[in-house]
Amino acid sequence: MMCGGGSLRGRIRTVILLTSITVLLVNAIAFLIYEVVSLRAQMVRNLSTLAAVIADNCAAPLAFNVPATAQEILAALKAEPDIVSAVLYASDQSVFAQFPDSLPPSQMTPPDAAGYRFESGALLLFQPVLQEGKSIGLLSMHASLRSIFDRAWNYGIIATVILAAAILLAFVLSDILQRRISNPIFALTTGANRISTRGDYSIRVPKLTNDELGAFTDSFNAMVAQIQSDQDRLREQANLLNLSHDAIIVRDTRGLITFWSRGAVEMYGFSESEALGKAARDLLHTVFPAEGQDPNDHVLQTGRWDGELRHTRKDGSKMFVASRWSLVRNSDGSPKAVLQSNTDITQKIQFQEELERLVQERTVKLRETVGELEAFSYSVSHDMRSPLRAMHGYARVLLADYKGRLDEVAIKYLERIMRAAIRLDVLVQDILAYSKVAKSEFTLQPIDLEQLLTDLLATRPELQPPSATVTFISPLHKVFAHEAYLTQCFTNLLGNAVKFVPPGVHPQVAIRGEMHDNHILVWIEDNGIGIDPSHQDRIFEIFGRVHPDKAYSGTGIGLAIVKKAVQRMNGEVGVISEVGKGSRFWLKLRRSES
Amino acid sequence: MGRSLDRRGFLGCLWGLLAAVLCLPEAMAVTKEYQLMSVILWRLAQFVEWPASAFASPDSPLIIAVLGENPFGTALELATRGETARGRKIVIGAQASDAIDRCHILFVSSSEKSRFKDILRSVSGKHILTVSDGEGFSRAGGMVDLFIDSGRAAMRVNLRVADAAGLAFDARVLRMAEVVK
Repeated sequence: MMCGGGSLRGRIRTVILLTSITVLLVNAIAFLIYEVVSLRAQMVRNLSTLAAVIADNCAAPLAFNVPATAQEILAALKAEPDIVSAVLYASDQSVFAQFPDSLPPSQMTPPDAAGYRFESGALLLFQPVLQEGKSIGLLSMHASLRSIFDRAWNYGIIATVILAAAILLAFVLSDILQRRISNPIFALTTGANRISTRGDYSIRVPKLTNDELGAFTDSFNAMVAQIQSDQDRLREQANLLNLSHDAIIVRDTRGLITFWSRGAVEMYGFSESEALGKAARDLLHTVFPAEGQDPNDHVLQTGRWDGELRHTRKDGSKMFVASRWSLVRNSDGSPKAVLQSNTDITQKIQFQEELERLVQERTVKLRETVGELEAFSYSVSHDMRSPLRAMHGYARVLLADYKGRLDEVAIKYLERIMRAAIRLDVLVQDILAYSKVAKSEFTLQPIDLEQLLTDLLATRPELQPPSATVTFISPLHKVFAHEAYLTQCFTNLLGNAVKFVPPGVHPQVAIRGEMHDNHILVWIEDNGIGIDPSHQDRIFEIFGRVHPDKAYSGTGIGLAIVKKAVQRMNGEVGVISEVGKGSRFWLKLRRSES
Repeated sequence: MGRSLDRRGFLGCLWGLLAAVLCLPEAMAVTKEYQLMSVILWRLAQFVEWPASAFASPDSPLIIAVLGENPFGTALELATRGETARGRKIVIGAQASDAIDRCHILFVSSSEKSRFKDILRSVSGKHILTVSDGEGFSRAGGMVDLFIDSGRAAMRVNLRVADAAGLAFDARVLRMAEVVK
């Protein structure tokens, strides 16, 4: 405390001392000057009087030319210690008498005009001797100023002693007086020091006086209280920031880190002391996205930036973060800092990459498998057809050539072989159709549904009266589809519709289209036997038959082909049905404007 | 007689002037002692106070008369020319006996030594400063003895007589003089 405040104390003391010394010195010098001046004036006065008296007394000796008497008169001057010499000149300027007796002529003051003058530490006085208004002689007196100097010297010594005593007194007084000024200031500086070194804003400075310093102390304390509350709020906010697993970083305008949250320590491995004051970009080897504007420019222009960054941790490992930047501005609107919140998305990105890689891998594998499978089933189906045809052909030949030699049972068995062969052939054809739909590459094009259905109905007798009644309600709109596959879909759906009817019922099918924003829903409603809701998922699977062979013939592949074809045309297919109340199949297809 | 005296006075003056201005050896005819004494004589007038009744009017001159043989020659006239005493002009009176009644300083020459008492008796009761260079003058009732001692002027003053005549001596003179009671 003594060291810290020494200069102020010293300065106040110096001011007091300097003021006192100056006043005293000026006083002493002024008094000394006054004293010397008045002493000189007094001396002139005294000596003039003395000279006048002596000159008067010397008038007679001069008048009567009695130098001895004049000598006697002058001898009386020895009573005056200041008088060094005196010379009485006669009117012809010859020396008439002198003092002291032994005064050599070389030390005699030559005559001069009446009056006095100070010359080299001496007072020279010239008094004419007058008789009857006429000058009959001149008295010159030479007085030493030693007595004045002695008095001035003594006075100087006394003044010095008084000055020293006064300075001592002023020193003691200044020590007491300056406490009244310096103590409140010390209290302030000590408080301010303690606050700044410890960062403890709960400290308050004691108010010692009620003057300006007291008011200053009050406002200082108020300021500290304000800082304390701000600090508390900031600390709360910082604690909140530290709770986050995200790295929260504040950079100043030069890019140097001024805040480094606990989340940042955990995320990057750099401690707070390692990070503060460093350039974030260099510390983390930031790699910005290759495209788009520089984030630093962007945040300065718009106030924020979002994006993904690549960073390097302290241990050298690479990582990805989702980063959100926000510009903090000064009260005048100029940029102050950038607040950055980084979320670690390394795992997510790694998972994503891993997943993509896996999907890629599996897709390739699957494609291979599917390709093999399709090639296999195609070749199997294809290769199965020739034995089937052989079986069917030879059974027919046997029946035709040996009809007379075969009994009824043999003929019946042969017919059964032929039917089975035909059925198997249909099945093989369906499987081939399915795999063709699944496998082949095609492009979609606009198709007029009315045209397509009109052509289809015309070539299919089973869809025409008297077998069945199929109607459609215009308009049916245009769709994006593949003509052959769409024809296949309608063939299968309409085939099912006219086939699955209760015995004795005339099949009736109605087709209508519903236009939506970007697709067309085509409804195919029949008066058939309906489908139990529990079976409705299964019917679109391959071999998903729900009815025993005997009631209704079919391979169980028809709806699977429809589903596959619709899917490949980016559409959907479904059914709403109840047993005994008919079925309403729907096709959802992409709408075509042209 | 008056004319002859005037002529002599005129001549005296002329001679005095000549002696003083042109012809120093002529003036030197008067001894150095009496030249000095002539100065002392008239300067005494400056150091002695007469009663006012001694003068006819405030601007009346102070008259010096010489009785007997004049030892000063023209020196006294030369010395007093232009001088004043107590604001009065100094006039050297005639050597006639009637001048004694009007003079203020009467120099009695040593030539009249034998008549000192008679002369003094005639001036007693008058305000006249009596001075002489003769021996025993003050003892005889004169006021001032003037003499030259080894080149220096000296005087003896009889204060009692001076007091009786109403004359007051300046103390400064008395300091240098020998006082006879």
